[in-house]
Amino acid sequence: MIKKNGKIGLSLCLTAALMAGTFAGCGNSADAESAKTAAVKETAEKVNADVQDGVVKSGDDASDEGTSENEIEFWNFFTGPDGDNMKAMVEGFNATNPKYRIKNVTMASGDLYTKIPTVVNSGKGIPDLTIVDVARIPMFYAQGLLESMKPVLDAAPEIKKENYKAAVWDTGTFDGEQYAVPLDMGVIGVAYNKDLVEQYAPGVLDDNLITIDEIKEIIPKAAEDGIVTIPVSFFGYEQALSLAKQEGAELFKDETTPNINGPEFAKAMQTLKEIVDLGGCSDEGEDNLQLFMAGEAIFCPDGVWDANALNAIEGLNWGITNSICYNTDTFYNFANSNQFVMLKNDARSDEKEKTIAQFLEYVRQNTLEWARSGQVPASSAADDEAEYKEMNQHFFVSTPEIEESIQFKNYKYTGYADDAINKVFGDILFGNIDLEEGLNQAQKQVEDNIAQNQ
Amino acid sequence: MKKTGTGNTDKNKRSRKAKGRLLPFAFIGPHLILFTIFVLIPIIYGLVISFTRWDFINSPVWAGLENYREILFNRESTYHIQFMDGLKNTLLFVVLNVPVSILVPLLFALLLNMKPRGSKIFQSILYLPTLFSISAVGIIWMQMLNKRFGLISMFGVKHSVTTTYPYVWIALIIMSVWWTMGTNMVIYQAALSGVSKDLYESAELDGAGALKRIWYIALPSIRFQLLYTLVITVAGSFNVYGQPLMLTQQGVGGAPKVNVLIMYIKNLAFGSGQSIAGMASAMAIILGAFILVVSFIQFRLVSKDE
Repeated sequence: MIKKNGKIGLSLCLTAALMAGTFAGCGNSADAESAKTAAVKETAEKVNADVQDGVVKSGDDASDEGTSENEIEFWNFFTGPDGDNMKAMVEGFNATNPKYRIKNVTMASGDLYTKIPTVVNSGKGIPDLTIVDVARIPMFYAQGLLESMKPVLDAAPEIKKENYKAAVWDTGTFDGEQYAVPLDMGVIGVAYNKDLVEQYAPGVLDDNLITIDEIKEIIPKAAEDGIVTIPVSFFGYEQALSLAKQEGAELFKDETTPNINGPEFAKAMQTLKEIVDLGGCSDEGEDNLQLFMAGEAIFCPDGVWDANALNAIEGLNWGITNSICYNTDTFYNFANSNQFVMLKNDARSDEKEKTIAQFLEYVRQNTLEWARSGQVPASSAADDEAEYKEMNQHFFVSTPEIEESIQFKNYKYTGYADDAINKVFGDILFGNIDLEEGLNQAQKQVEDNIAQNQ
Repeated sequence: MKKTGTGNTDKNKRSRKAKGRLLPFAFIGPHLILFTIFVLIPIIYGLVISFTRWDFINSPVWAGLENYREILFNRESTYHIQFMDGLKNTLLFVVLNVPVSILVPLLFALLLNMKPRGSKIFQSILYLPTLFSISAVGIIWMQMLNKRFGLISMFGVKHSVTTTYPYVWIALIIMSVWWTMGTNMVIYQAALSGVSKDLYESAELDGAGALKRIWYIALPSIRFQLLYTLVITVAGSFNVYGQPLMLTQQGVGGAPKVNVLIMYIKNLAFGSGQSIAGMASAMAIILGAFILVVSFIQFRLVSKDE
């Protein structure tokens, strides 16, 4: 038995040991507090999508009394704030009293993609309508998972290429037939801090293009004040693709031949590495969005969907522009795209397909609601809306030239390339692995993976 | 009548004997059913998949031992490189994590066993992280270890500890122990509370100090619990996934700095591209066999001790 004083001492020791926990999240920058809160929230959403097992949320429209007999089961992965915008559209459509109500089933993207093979193989519980990313569509088509959208297009004649952005519409076309209807374009450009641009890079954005030479000129001045010029480790893969595309290179030479260790992609990676070596990038492992939100980076490669998170930061005066380029002759902006597809299901009736057509037509017409989530709508219906024109992401459809710069990674084996490049990207950039060795490793990984499916 | 009576007695005996034989099955039956459905069948299913090439959609193609040969012997193969890298990192995690995950909770259990003021509160607080999801734990530690905005920035740390060796390993082990120690601590506490106080008092009278009382009385008294937690901690550490994924991720789309075997297995089966389920299953089977051997050795040690 220890004495009373000893017990109190022990108690104090334990208290001290536990104090560390109470410091969680404490920082030394008061200015960064709001940025931090928003970033934490966003990280949590991303993390949940990556790690959680099972359905994370069922849509509020999932009526208790409803059955699959009188509902259109609609799977999507809008687990973040964009879920509210989709919910608003679903509710709006259901309020029109359609024959079948839309049952909004939201889950983490990883779960959705894991569940698809299971339900398709079992033939049970196949959703009537599903959102998938453009990068998966050629693969799903090749695997025979997708139903033609022809009945939907026949039932809703306004759902046609002319009413959508042409480039994104074509990503769902195979052998002249449509297998997907696009919802949006998640363009990845370069966000910029207007105040810091004024201070360190005046005039650079006059042509809406940031060249590599301009970046290299800005770096020394910004670095003197501890300001990061452009954290190219954040969405840097898409910046590298844009640079490689300017040199005429695609991610794949043909359907089964990756082009990762080709000279164009190697040059693009070398260019990004030079920015890092010159001190223009943040350090390895930094939270770059947080950095930008805290006003410590002039530019930040980012996707348009982060608009609401950036808007929430008080005092952050920001805009978004094109991806970085070698020169002003050509530029490209790579994008994701959420698209509606129908997975093969013999049990889906013609009547259901008609209601799906009505829903997609409703979404097309009311696409402004989706623009509010930060995305660039694939439908042109909102192009003339004053509210949309005020949004930062409208930049990417503001001129035909910029709109035409939008590119998609819609190859059959995009997923393999994404995984392989992301594995080595940071290590190449920060010099942990030789550039050539890293790209060869990624190339080999994609080749080996493709060989497994031959 | 006599014959009939004997007959009835025999019948009753047989009936009782039969009941006696069936009784154990009644007890283990529910568990056996659950074990078969959720453990045995998936293991057999996984084993069969490991001999195929399969993308979860099209029909599997029989590949025999090709996947195993590729993983274990083809040095040029991506899968061999991934397996060796994943195994190396996993083993390193086991070696670093297991001792700390045993010692730290043991230390807290010993302290709490002295019943300091507020011991119940401390017990609850120390156990609390075990209830958190790995997502929440990862975010807490990522924020604490953020060199610009986090707790460590207050102490002038200039390194990104979640992406720089060897700090990343230290951070990983601290986070893992903080998250998981509650379970082991409660087991030790329960065991320690069962040790007779007379033993401590006798030892104290004989002049034994606190350390000697722990070494010669407390630890031998809870040796079975220590061995049990050793086995489950080793098995759990081999299956590490969430901690490095959450803590050492290098930005958007970037791979974690520490790639453990389960990450490679998961990415092969459920990556962004077409599934390579056969190869993933083969890797999982090899890892499972590895854990089985280690656990077997540990159980042998336990039996020997008994």
